[in-house]
Amino acid sequence: MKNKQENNKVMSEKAIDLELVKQAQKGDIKAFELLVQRYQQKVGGVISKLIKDYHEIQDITQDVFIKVYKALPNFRGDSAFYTWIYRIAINTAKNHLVARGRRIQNSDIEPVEAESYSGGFERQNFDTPDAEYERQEIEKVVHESIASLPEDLKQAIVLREIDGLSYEEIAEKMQCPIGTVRSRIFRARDAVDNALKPLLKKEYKRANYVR
Amino acid sequence: MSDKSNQQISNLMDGELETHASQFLLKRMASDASLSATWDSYHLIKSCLQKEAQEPLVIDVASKVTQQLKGMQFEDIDVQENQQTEADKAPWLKVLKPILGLGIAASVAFMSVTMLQQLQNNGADNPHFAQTQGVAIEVPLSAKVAASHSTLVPPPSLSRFPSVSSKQQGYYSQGLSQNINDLPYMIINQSNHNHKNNFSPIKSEGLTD
Repeated sequence: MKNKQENNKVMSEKAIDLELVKQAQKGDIKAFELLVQRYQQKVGGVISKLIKDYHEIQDITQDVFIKVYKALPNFRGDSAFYTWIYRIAINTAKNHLVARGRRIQNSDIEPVEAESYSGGFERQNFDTPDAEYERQEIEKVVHESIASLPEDLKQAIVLREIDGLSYEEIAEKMQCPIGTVRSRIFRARDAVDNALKPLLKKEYKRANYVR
Repeated sequence: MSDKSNQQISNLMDGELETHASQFLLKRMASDASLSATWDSYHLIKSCLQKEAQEPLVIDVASKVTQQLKGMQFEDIDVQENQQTEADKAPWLKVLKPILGLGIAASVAFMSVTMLQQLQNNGADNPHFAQTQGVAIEVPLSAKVAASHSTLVPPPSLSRFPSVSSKQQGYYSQGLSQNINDLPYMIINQSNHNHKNNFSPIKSEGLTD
């Protein structure tokens, strides 16, 4: 009975990270790739608070994950994985600026604050023309796909991704079973993913897999 | 790739999948490129919706990191293989190593013996050493004592029995300039061991009356 209850228990996001970290610590690079896919945008976002150049942001994000991989044996799981990599990301970005002899702005950003920090930056164009175009294309497709979704799917995905509600809270708000919420969120993601595929095929042509 | 798998990925990324299924799916994703791509895409969608407008999208960093890590692993493997290959290329080295070791040891031993012999030959030519040649070496006192089953005792002034004669004291005072056999050690026969004051000097060249 107890085992059945444990099996039915959901795996928290922190537990998912730890599971992937464990696999990566054993040398499973594909497991580490899943972690990178999970956090690359967040890490890129944190670095963009300190560095303006798009190519540098890409390179430093890559460096951060290489450092994270090398430092994985030291990660004991005392703190959340994302807190740990954010700290590495900020330190790497600062070191990069120091090495280039540039002044560090916003050096007092704490890792936990970095994700939501907008720091009074003026709106800046980080991207090269190509990168800017790609980013705009992806964002356009995502937002257009969301806008074209049936109302129940749109509401579910917006409550989850933008408002950050849990499935239980969404179920309560939409007055439907939690299973329906799961299904609606998945169908919304699947629809956007299908719309993105042609674009991402182009973006990932240099990647080691083809969708 | 089924819808069921994709729905599981959707649930997993929100922490809404059961533990057992999550562990199974994570392992599948690590070995299935299409599932991994779906995981990547769903996270990209999440980021697009959550990102501030000015934040850049980081594209295909994951694949670059993976390629770099694989490259690093290959470099490590290459280094190991190169070391291995060098050993494989020269298997005679494995046989030669102990032989070389033995050869060096034998050379050192041979050199030592040769040098010793040379020293002895040089000694024969040396007049100082030559004087000793052919002269019977006198047996040391300690050996005599050992052979006679007697006890070697120190001079009375140094012993617990200072009642020694002036002659014996004189012998002792001259001791530094005398041979070892002239020193006022005394041999006491085991049979007379109880008569501790009954000393009789060793009959040696410098001590005889």
